[in-house]
Amino acid sequence: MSELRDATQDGVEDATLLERMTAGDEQALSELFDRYAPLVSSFATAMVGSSDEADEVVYDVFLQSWNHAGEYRREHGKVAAWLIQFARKRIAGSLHSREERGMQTERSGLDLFTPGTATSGTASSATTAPSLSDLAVTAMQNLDQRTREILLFASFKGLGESEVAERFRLSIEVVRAVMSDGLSSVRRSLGERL
Amino acid sequence: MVFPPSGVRWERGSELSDHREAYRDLCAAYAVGALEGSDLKDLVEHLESGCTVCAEDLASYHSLISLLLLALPKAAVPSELKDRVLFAARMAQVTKARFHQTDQDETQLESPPRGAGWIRRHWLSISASVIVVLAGVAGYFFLEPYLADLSDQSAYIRTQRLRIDQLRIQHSKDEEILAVLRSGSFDAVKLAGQGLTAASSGMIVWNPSTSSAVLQVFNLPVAPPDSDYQVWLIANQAALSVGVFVIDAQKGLRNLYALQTAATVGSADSLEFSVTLEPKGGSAAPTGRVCLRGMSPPVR
Repeated sequence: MSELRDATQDGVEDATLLERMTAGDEQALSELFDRYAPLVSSFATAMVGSSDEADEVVYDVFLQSWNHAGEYRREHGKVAAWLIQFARKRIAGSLHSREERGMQTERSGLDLFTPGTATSGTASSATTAPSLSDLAVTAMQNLDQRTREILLFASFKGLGESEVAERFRLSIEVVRAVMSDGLSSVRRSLGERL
Repeated sequence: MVFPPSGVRWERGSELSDHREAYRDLCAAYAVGALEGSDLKDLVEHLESGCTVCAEDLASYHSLISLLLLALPKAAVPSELKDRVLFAARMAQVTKARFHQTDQDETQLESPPRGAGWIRRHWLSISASVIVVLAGVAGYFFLEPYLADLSDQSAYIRTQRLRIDQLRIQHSKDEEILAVLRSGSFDAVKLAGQGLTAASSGMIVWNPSTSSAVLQVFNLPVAPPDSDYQVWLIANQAALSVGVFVIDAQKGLRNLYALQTAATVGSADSLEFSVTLEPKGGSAAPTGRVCLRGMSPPVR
């Protein structure tokens, strides 16, 4: 999928799958898994580094989605974003536990956003225009370090605004402003293509 | 953070702009999953009240974040992970049903009130009776869901075992097919539909050194209940049976069959293959109408 909008496959929307899951429809869970397990797995693998642990994250995320399907509301955002929220919380707990035990945390997934790193995955060549994803990654790379790190810590490591504020020694209001300025900057870089 | 009342419609441009500005940081923090506490609760209520301005901003932020997610290196999902998730979901359903039943049962265990004098005279026997009854009822209701659970689980396990057996059979057939193709020395013969089955076609891959073949057919109808399709190799004016096959309507494009003949084919200028409709179980020689036919190139 070229963009993470709410998927409609075979005429069935994501939100409809969640409604069916609320009624106990396992087939709906199976379809949701087929649609989003690869994305959740990519996210989890980038964050925790270990594929085994990423598999456990995927397992927990979809079990959570099954147990809490009735709590989803369209106003909360896309279903994919809702699933990634579960993943963030699950990963945040895992990362905190590692830090408390003095273990190193894999950062390979976030290296993509380090300035100067070539984009990959949605590859572009010299003869084709860069994809929206590549442009978004480049825009992130072009942010100042503090803004980029605040966005990455919140978006990908599951830190809440108070944890980010403590880590960067800022007030919560400033953290929020930095996040929104950063996202606005990325949005401007994409211009009309978004 | 003070939130405006829900349902307020922002009519003028400046009010819209002010509203957007007021919520911008909150929506950004919410979109990245960082918003916490009472502000999180208030923003969710605000979104649920139907604010289209904030919903639009949030959707835009989500799109940005999703683009970043899509840029991450792709990771493979093991096939058995889905089975684990589905199994766990099923167990969660069964457990939920059992606890729901247990809650219902507890409300049924209350004893009706009795007269005070009667109870004082017969308290011991009443107590004993109630205990026995309660124990029996509790035992029944306690065990019954477990038995129901076990039954559900047993049924599920039987289903999975059946599926595993089917997969083993399919795997075994696939291995037979691959064995022919891996040999590296085979002839491929196209088969054309004949007569009533003119719309059908096929391909047979024949390994002369092992006298084995892989057959694929297209648009061949399911045979009548009293018949089977049989494959023949006609060489040196003799018809050798290569095997009998049954069309699986579920297979679709995977109508592949591994066949083997015990006979050894001697040298021949060319080989002709045909598929005929024979009585159930096959025949010693072709008797039915020809459905598919094809000729191989000369044997090298």
